[in-house]
Amino acid sequence: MFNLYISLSDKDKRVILIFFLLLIVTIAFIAVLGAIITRVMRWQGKRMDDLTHDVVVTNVVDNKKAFLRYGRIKNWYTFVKQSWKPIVILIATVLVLVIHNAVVGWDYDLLDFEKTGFNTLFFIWDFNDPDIYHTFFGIKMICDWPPIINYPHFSLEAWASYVFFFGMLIGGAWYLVTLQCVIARTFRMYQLSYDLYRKSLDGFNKAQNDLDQSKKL
Amino acid sequence: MATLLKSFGKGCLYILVLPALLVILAFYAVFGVLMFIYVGIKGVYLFFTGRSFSELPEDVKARAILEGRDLTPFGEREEEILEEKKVEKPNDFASTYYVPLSQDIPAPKDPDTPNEGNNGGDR
Repeated sequence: MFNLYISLSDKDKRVILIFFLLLIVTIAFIAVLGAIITRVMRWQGKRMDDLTHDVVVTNVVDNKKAFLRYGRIKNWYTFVKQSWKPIVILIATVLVLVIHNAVVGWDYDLLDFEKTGFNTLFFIWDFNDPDIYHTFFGIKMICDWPPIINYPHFSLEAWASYVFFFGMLIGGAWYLVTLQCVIARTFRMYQLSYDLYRKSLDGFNKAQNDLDQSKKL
Repeated sequence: MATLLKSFGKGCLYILVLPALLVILAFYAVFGVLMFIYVGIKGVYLFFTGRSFSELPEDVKARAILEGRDLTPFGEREEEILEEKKVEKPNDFASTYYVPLSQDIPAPKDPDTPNEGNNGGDR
């Protein structure tokens, strides 16, 4: 009989506990996030019903292929209508930074946390501090809060980086939402094309089929 | 407990498919920019040619049907009417090019002639 004995110190046990807790919390967080995204996408996909309702009820579009073609065009037209605002924000943000750098100089540091970068607005931790790491089964793991090297403060010199950061954040997030809408509508379009134009033989009675050629012979 | 385990499983599944989802999102992000440029240019062209940006021929047709207007071209409409009235469309030369003879055409009424029959005659 082979017995494996592992002796764990109190610190090792604490690290294992924290590791598993973090893992469970992360997975639960991702599950909740996924559920929210799925629900929002289902709601966004309903827009496809609104876009295709008239042509379906009037029978202008009467087959699956035509429905998919129509739905695809409508989907991208709606995307353009929705996404022009975030795209304009993103372009304007980049233009502001380019003009600013052309005037001030191209060595302007966007990531700086002391004077010119948007990191001046955030807490900055020193992850290079060797005292916060601990070796666990030969793996170097972080096991302490790193020291803070910057507290949030406003710097007038960093205004261009603030504009750039918040512009990119808002424009990017908005653009991602519109993309999510497109994907949701695409899913809904395929689902509708299947539901509306599928051929089903459920409840079909061959004996009562008037179109049956074999009965006429 | 079952719900908790179910969400835990879903979380694991989402983590596994996350790279694929990110690839799809990245593809849509790039394709979206291209479509934005393409549809934008097309929209500007349509605007200056006096046409609607997002109104397709199917929309026009559907709107006309919903509003009760008949957009059917004349030839097709004639066919539909004939079909509805169960009238056989003449297909021989004589009936196609039938010209009514003079006795078949009713003579124009003279306004001075008194009306006959039931239409206000002498009683």
